[in-house]
Order: sequence, then C-alpha cells, then structure tokens
Amino acid sequence: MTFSNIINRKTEILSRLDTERIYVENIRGFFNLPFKVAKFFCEMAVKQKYFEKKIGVQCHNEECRRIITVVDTETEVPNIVECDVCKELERGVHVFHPVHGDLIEFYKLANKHDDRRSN
Amino acid sequence: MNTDKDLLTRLLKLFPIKAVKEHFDLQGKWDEIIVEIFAKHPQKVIFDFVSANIDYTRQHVHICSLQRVFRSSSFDTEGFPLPILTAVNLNNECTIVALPVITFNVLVTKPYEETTVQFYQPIKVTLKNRHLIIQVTTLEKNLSHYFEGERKVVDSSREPHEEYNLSAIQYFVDSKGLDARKCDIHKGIKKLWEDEIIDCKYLKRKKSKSTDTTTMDENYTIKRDYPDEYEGMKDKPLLKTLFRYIGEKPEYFCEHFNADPMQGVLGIASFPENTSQIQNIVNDILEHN
Repeated sequence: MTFSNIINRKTEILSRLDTERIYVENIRGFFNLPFKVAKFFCEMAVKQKYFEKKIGVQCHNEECRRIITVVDTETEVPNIVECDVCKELERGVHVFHPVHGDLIEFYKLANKHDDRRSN
Repeated sequence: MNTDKDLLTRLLKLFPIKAVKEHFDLQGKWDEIIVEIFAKHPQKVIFDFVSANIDYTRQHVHICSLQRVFRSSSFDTEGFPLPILTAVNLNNECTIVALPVITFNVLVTKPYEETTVQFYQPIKVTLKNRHLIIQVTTLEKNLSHYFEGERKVVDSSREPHEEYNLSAIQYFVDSKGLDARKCDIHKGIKKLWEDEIIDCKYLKRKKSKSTDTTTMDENYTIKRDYPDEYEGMKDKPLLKTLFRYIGEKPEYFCEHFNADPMQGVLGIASFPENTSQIQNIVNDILEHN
C-alpha cells in the first residue's frame, strides 16, 4: 500500500467517525495502538477538554444491547430503565436494573474544543 | 382460578384502565373499579364494552388480500368458527367481533402443580373492499402474575394457538368464495416511511446472502440519522421492524408499531391513545399499498 493510499484510507475512516460517539476502539483502530494506549489517549483528551466522557446504559437483553440512555457519571445511572424497542417488539422482559456489564463508555468531541484550541 | 368473574376480570384488564374508567364513569384502582362494574352491570354490558373498544387493546393485526371485492349481499356469518359477540354486515363491509376462550396449561412451583388459566381473547374480523383484516388482542405474557406469593409458572402451553384461530377464520372466508391470502404490505409501509409519517428504530432486512439488523440507540431513527442506510434499504425485503410515528397530526397513529411486511402483520404492543389509531395505521398502509 502506498503512502497516498494510507492517507486516503485514514481520511475515509476519519470522515466516517461520529464525533458524538467515539469509542476507544475507534481510536485504537485509527492509530493502530494497543488498547491501553488508546484508552490513555482518550482520558488525556478528556483532561485537556478535547473530549467529554459519556456512559451509555445498554439494554440488558442480549439480542438488543442498544443504548437506552446516556449519562455523564456512574452515579447518574438510573436504578430502573425500560427499553422501548424490546417492549414494542414484544420481547418479554424490557424493564430492568442496569448492572455494570450493561454500561458502555464512549467519548464525544467537546463542544468547545475549537475555543480550547484557539486559546 | 377460572370462574366467570375471573375471566371477565382478565378480559377487562386487556383494556387500558383509562378507557374502562371513562366508559363506566368510575374512579379508583383496578380492584375497586372491577367490584363496582360487577355490582352494577350484567355480563352483556361488559361484552358490549369489549365489542365497541377492541381498538383500544394491544394486538396483532393480520392483513389478507381477497381475490375479489367484498359484497355484503353475497355474504353471511353462518359457520363462523368462533363464538360471535357482534356481527354487522352492511354497505359492503362486514365486522365481526368474536370472543373465544383460550386455555393455558401451566406448571406452577411451590408446590408443583399442573393447572389451567383461561382468558377471553377478543378478535375483530373486518371484510372490506379487497381485504380481510383480523385483529387479535394479545394476552398477558407473564402468567405467574395470576398466582399468589412466590409461585412461578415454569412451563406453559396454549390451546388453541393464535395460528389455529387465524387459519379457522381464513378457512371460513375461503368457504364463502373470497379466497384470502396474506397481503404483502412493503409498498404501503415504505411509502409512509418515504413521506416521513413514520421512521424506524429497529430494522431487520434481508440482504442477498444474510439477514441484517440495525437497532438505534436512544431516540435516533434510521432515515433521519443514517440516511445512507435508509437509501440502501429501499429495495430490500423487511422482516419484523419497529416504526415510530413522526407525522404532524397529533395522536393520529400509535407512537410505535412493529410490522412484518412480508407476512402482512402489524403488532401494537402498547395501549393506543384512542380507538382510531390502529384503523388509521391500517387504512394509510393499504391506501398506499
């Protein structure tokens, strides 16, 4: 693969990235880093206020696992959540108490990252 | 467990409490309302309420095509396979509300016991133009709810199955020379989607060599948030997919409904807000189909 191809490929990946939902795996894959390094990179970006850290509460049903709601910290995770997709698809259990395995971390590009960069 | 009052109580609880309170002009919780209804009204009044308000229930709607246009004059309800509550056959439209009894054979714990739980299951059958529409009220899924304390239902089987009653109704319609076949509703569904009357929260579609699902997080929807995926879906067959009403007329459709377009089946899993919403969904799909 030529250098130009690599750049084009990286540009394509970057253009597909949703800045509202950046997962550590997105960063790991983009820079081809070990997971721990990519995680560290994300946490540093939070400290530098480039990223905001978010926690998604996923549906407990294995066949669903959609993010039902998003909070900023684990203390804000609701005691009870209802998945309206599972409810409306008549999947039976659709109200549950979230457990740690139902939580998924991601990052979003901070709204004021441009201001931060210009300072 | 299965007295007349038990069955009537379960029947009333298939409806939203708001609708029951309004109809019988009562206040309070379920237990209080049901005592009042039994004290003041005979069974016939409850059955009349069921007939008039079946569109308030959670239900499956099965849509079939008829091979010829329905004519009231050449149709009668003799031989209908289920107990009929009401039947109206006028102006080239026939509506039958039936109330079969469904039996669940259950195995319950603490102590282990084999027993039965019975329900009335309201079914509305409509013949109009070139369509047969069968609306089947869905029953409570959690049967443990009907046993006290820590008793749990660990196994259950249902008699007769929904498919059995559907086949019996289709067989009856066929015997009247109408020849009902399940109706593919892809065209109607996709038109409503294109016109932004509905958008999708859970998409299940056939690709040439695979089945693909997309479940949207939070309140995101396919067409609005994944326009490329929407474009790529336009010519693909859909399996059971969940739609959300996004049209401008308030409460015109139920907020959500699921649809299996190849089978011609709709599912309404939450109580409708009024008795027009389900008819609006069916009519608008068929109008564009």
